[in-house]
Amino acid sequence: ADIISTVEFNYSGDLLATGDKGGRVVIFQREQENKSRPHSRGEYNVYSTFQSHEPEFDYLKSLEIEEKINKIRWLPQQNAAHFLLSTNDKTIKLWKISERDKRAEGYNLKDEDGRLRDPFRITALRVPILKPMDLMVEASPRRIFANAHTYHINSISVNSDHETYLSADDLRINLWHLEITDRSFNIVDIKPANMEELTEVITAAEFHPHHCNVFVYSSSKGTIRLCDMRSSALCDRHSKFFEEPEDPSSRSFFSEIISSISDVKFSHSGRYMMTRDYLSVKVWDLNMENRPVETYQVHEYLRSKLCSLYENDCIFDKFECCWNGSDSAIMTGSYNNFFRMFERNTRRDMTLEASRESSKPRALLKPRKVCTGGKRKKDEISVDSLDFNKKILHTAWHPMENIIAVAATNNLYIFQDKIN
Amino acid sequence: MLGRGLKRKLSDYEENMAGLSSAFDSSRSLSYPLKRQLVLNMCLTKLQTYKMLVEPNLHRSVLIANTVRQIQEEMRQESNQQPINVCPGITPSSHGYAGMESSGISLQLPSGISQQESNCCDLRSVEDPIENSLLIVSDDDMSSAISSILKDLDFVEDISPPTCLVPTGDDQPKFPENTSLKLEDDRQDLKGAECVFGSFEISNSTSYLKDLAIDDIFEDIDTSMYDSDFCCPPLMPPRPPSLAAEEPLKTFPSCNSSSANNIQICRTDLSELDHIMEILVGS
Repeated sequence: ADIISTVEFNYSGDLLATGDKGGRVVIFQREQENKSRPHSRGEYNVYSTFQSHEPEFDYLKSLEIEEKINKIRWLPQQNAAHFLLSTNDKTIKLWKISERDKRAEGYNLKDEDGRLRDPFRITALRVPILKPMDLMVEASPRRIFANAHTYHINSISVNSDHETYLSADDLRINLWHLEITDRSFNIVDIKPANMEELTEVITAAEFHPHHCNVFVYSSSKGTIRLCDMRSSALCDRHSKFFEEPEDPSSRSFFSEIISSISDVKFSHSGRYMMTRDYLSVKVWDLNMENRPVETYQVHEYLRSKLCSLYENDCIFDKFECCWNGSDSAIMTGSYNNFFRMFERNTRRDMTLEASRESSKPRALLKPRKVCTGGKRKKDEISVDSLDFNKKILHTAWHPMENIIAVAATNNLYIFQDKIN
Repeated sequence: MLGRGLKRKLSDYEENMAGLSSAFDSSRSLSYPLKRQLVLNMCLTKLQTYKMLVEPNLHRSVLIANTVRQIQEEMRQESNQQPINVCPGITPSSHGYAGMESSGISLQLPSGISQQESNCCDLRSVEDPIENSLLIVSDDDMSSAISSILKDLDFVEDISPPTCLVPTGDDQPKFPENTSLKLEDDRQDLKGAECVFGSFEISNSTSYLKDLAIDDIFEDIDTSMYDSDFCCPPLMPPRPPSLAAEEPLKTFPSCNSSSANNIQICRTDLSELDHIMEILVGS
């Protein structure tokens, strides 16, 4: 199994898609409730697997293009088939996943095994009959959106109009129509005329869940810009600019690096947005630009280890974050296969671990604790024993229920609330 | 820190390696300039490594470049404020870096820290005036760090043999005079580096850091000591006018003492740089 690079539930939560470093997409489907097997309710089983992207070689620039899937985004379901967008560094593809459980028999022009029949031998015509067959799930690429990004694509986001979507790379954001593959509109371009002056890159972008003209993008300097596409064709000038003033007492050489935002997500309500930087998660009210309304420390104990983390490049890890369906809780990953959940109203937080040893099927997850100094209590883990190779970058929360999907390197864990 | 919580025996080598930034994070004994120097070294090393990649990560490069700019700006302001030969006596709080816990000693710090340590000079890389000037003018707090640096530099010697034996003989008596020169070089280099750090410019927008540009950038700052892959001694010492005459002395011994491979690399790089200079000068 390859390293999982993205995890995403669809709008109903029945399907869970994962993309990996090898360019494969694996879709899991939730089992229907079944009285004869009560425990299997809510279990996710493999539904479809397909190769979305292949490694490519750009001959012009002598560069290899990785097949790693950076993001998957589902489209809202409009018919029996499911559609999703998957992207690597350069190309976005629209995939149609459809079920086939019937096949036609009794063709006129070909035999049952597919050989063509000699037309002169056909003496009678018949109507083919549909017969049931074993369920087959097929994935086929319906659109390929290519050659629009010079830099590496880091985000895609489907618009609430269900007709357009945006794709963002380090310096530009493009707007696409789902039906049109040979053209896209460039809506944000922060590339300076002189690359010498480049000091900031785009790190993530997302459309507002309800207002189809509004999107946000985050930067490596820890700022978020909200743009309104009605104001101008090129949204280089933002409508709102979100930035928290720096705390001078915590300034260090690495301040800028750890302020770089790795993920931005609107709440389901559309009233808030959440940003993840290296050490914290911040919730912003869209109506207040000068500071976030809530800040949650994910692993503050790492602040005194920044130099080591810089040396081994961990400081550049891009953690994602997600909301639960009701926007009352948020979740994000950390190191040592730990992930963190924060309840917004009670301010309770929890650290859990996604590993084989700590999760037996149907057993409750035990909360973990990292010991930051002094005497280490039993069951606590000291900061120096954390495994920084075991990082949880990708998590997803079911849109309605308390089911979460956590990607720990090349393993996928699905946890849910205990059902009594 | 990077391990999986397994107990392992720390060899001396490991101690030195792990000591780099772990020491930075955990100990408090190093002065602010050294800490800053360590970070600067790490940044330059990373940038150098990225330069060797076909397609460096733009996001990371920008973040590291910004950090370097920030440090250089600070160093420039300091050198503007301080008269020559006076120790800035920097404390973290005076720069608002109250959060800095500590110090690590960079293995990559070229040697040659203070006049007190004569054998330092053996390893001193004259090619890095920024660090030299910084270290030369720093205060006695440094000397305690110096001995540990020397110990650590046992490792560095493998990478960059102490070829500076030749120039050091000359340099030692000139120390006090060199100080002022070094500071000037420092300013020049800062300026040079600064305006060209800007020049992550490349003709091809897809490859953020292209070879030619980087060679220009680092022309003034010799970072080849960090070029651990090549294991090549300093190739391109910066050219302060007063020391121009000594250059051949420095360059050739360093080439001669290496293996044949390194000589090849030296010569290739030198000719490459010449080629680049030609293009730039347009002749």
